[in-house]
Amino acid sequence: MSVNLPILSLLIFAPLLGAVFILLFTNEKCEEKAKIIALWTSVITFIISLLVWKNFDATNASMQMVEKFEWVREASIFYHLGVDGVSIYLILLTTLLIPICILASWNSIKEKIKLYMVLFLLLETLVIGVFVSLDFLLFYFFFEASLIPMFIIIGIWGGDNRVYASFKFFLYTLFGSVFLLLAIIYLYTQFGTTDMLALTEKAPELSLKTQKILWIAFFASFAVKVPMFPFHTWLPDAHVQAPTAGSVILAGVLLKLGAYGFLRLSIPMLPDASVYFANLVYILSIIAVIYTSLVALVQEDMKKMIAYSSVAHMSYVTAGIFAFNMQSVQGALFQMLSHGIVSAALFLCVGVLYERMHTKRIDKFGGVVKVMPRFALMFMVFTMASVGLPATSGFVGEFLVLLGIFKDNKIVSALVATGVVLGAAYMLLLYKNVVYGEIKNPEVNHLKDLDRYEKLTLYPLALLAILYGVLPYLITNDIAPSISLLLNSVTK
Amino acid sequence: MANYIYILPEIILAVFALVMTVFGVFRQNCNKTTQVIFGLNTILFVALIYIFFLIDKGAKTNLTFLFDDSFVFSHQIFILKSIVCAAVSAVNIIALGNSNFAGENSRKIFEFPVLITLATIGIFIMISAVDLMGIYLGLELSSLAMYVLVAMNRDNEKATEAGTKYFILGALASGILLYGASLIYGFSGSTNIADLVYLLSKIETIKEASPALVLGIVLLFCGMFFKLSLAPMHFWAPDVYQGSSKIVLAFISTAPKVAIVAVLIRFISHFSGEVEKQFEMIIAIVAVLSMLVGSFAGLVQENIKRLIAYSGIANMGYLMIAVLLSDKESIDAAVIYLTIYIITGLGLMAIISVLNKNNSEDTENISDFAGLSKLNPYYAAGLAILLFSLAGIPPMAGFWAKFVVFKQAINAKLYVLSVIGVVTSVVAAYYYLRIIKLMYFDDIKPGVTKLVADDVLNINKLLIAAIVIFTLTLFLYFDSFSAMLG
Repeated sequence: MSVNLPILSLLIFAPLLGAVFILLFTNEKCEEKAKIIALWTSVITFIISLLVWKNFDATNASMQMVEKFEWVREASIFYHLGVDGVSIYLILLTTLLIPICILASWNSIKEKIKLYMVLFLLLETLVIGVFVSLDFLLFYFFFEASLIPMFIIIGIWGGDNRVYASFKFFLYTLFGSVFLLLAIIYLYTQFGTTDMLALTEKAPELSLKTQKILWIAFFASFAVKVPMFPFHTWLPDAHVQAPTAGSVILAGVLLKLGAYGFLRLSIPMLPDASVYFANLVYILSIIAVIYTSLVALVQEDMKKMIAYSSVAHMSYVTAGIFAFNMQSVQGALFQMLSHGIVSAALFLCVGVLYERMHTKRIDKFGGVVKVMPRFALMFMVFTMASVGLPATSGFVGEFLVLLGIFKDNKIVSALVATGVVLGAAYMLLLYKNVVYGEIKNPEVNHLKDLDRYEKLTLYPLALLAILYGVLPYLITNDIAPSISLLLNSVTK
Repeated sequence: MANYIYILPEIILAVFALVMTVFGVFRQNCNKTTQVIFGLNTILFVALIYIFFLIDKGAKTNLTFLFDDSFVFSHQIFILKSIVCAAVSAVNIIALGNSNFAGENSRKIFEFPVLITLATIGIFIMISAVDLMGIYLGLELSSLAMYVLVAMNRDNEKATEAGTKYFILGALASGILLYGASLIYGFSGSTNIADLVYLLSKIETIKEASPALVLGIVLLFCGMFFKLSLAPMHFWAPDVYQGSSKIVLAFISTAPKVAIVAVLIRFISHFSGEVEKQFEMIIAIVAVLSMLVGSFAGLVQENIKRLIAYSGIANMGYLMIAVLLSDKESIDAAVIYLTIYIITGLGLMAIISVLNKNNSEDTENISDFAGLSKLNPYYAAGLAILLFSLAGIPPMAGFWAKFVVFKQAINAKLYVLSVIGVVTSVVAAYYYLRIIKLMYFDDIKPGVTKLVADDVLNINKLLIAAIVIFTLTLFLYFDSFSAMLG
């Protein structure tokens, strides 16, 4: 593969091309065709991302496969792309989850299929765009635009309360993002560039006071996206109302945008302020871990429970990022990927049950294992991965994060670790109530086990969850050089 | 004689308006007359852009003063006038396809396009005038034409009310403006802005200036704020917009704003020192109030025209941030903002003007748009893109408009103003999203089978498509776009 091929642009625009193709060549009558085109497009995109991965040199910490063109000449804003160890696996996660989302929607989405597929491909373009942009304005461009497809996906194909959820999602996130925009503009007026690499070098020179204000502006945007306590309230609503694939992509990828922002932007550009605010992030993360885990314990709706567990799991990520050492940040990134796989799979499992019973209430289920053994096995794998059982990917992330924080602050580490216990409590409770026990609801007797689409979506994720649990070095080795580069500015 | 070259477009327009009046009188009973005039108008205004271009190319100096320094022509004025020309031809295209601009038998009212032409002459005069007299004459010419346009649908209660309100309040504002002008003349001895600016540049602090002179300028500004519907002088806008037909609305919500912004810029960009700071403060207050009123009051509107009025108030508020800074880049930013706002607004009006229920009832309320995406996915998608643009979401054009303005504001350290600006833009996003929600998330209202008129002209569709594509793809060529306007 020649290096000169603009492979990252190809990666960004392949889904968009597929979306345009669907718009031009299908009509309302042959919506089946839209599904097939969308699936092929996403598979091709996944293959392109694998090529990127193959080309990726894990020993090199700096940006690779860089593309740089002038975009707004007068303002010296560039179309600047590149990948490093931090972004490469997030890109792979995205390109992996999109085909799975499309498969998961194959039979469950029945109206406006064409628009649905177009929006998913558009979302893929925008999310990959966020992960590969090296220009701050370009980053913002993709970051903000990704609201539109998600807003419409929740609003059209969501549950009964979808309008409320979609508005809450959109306005919350927009409210956070506009401050990020102001911060970007401020950096631009100070340094005359929006190039991330240049800003990473220059911005740390700003005074602590300025850094603090900018950090808060960054934080407003990323904390809402992660979401961190107390900005998390949009997430349960969005998850409960979103269609299954919408929840998958929301939990799997969109939440990672916020954490990625902290890692790529807040820490390297504003190291002093990041250190200054690290305790704040610790406190919010601890509250989130304990509080949302307790809230998850009492949920009656499966999706809501997993949504709250997402908040708790993402708190490990934020706490890990702000412990600023190799293990914790590695763990945070690993946890992001693991959570991307596991929570996505858990939402798929809920979707499997919802498709059959049209309810997500836990008390309507029980004894599912008797009629759906394959499903029960899959659900077991992901529950265990979510709990953080050794030999699953969830364990590696949590362990590294706790280890890293322990080095920094033992009390914080102990408090965050309570989340592991609480997480086990609610996930096992969920599993017990849904899968085991007597069949109380006669409808459960008629449930059919996984069909081939569902197998196709769940098996690969289960495989990955175990593979990365057993062989974590496959990822940790690749991400280490880039992380140590990112942490350089903090440790100095 | 050379002077007259520069006002050739105005002369052409005036002659054209008079000829068309006579033409219309002689063919009064023919329904086609109005259509013909609309068509000629469209072509004429496009042609005028070319004439302006030639004049600009032929101009020997950057800034050409004519007629005893009362009239000015420059590259920037060429840009502004071209924007107006393009906007007015778009309005004429919208009107071509919509037979209902003034109630029953609208087609027989051939004065309608003539009045649009006359109003545009007024706008041109204002853009070029450096003399208070010129500004006032241009303002009155355009305002009087617009009062008549609004009241044109005389069988409609709302239109009559709107016309009366617009006339009385507009006359009051003109009176305030004229009083301010007379004070300025009385205490400076000149009606020329250049003289006034020279006089003010001599003084160190505002206290040295004669209070009456300062009062005169403030009153003049108040009149301008009124015409631009800036809070707290915005009360007329929602009522007048609601009573106007969609075609009139497409005109009055776009083209005249260019003229007033041009006049404000002419004043504020020549002030300096302490005086500038004082007037910046006035504009800053007006900008903040407009952003707040426009976004919060818009939340509760059910009528689409009132919503457009409030959206306009908020947008003019953002624009004022760039106007008050008044350095070269900020004025460029203001022009970019204004252009994008006008293009988006015209696209919005072009789509809204073809919407009606079952080809009979007009769509007045936002709730009438329910289920548009199911009946007419293309119009719904177009409208959604324009609304996302107004909400300032990338990659739409509206994002770039906000970006350039906030860039100037941050550059000038106007942090508070910027924060208020972005927060109100989130609030305003709610009402734009509400329309998208109705179109996409809600079901069609019972009994409604059609939401788009059957007889939409191809040229109208073309206009809508062009504006939507521009809005969506501006990010690809924003570079050349801003260079062109700069």
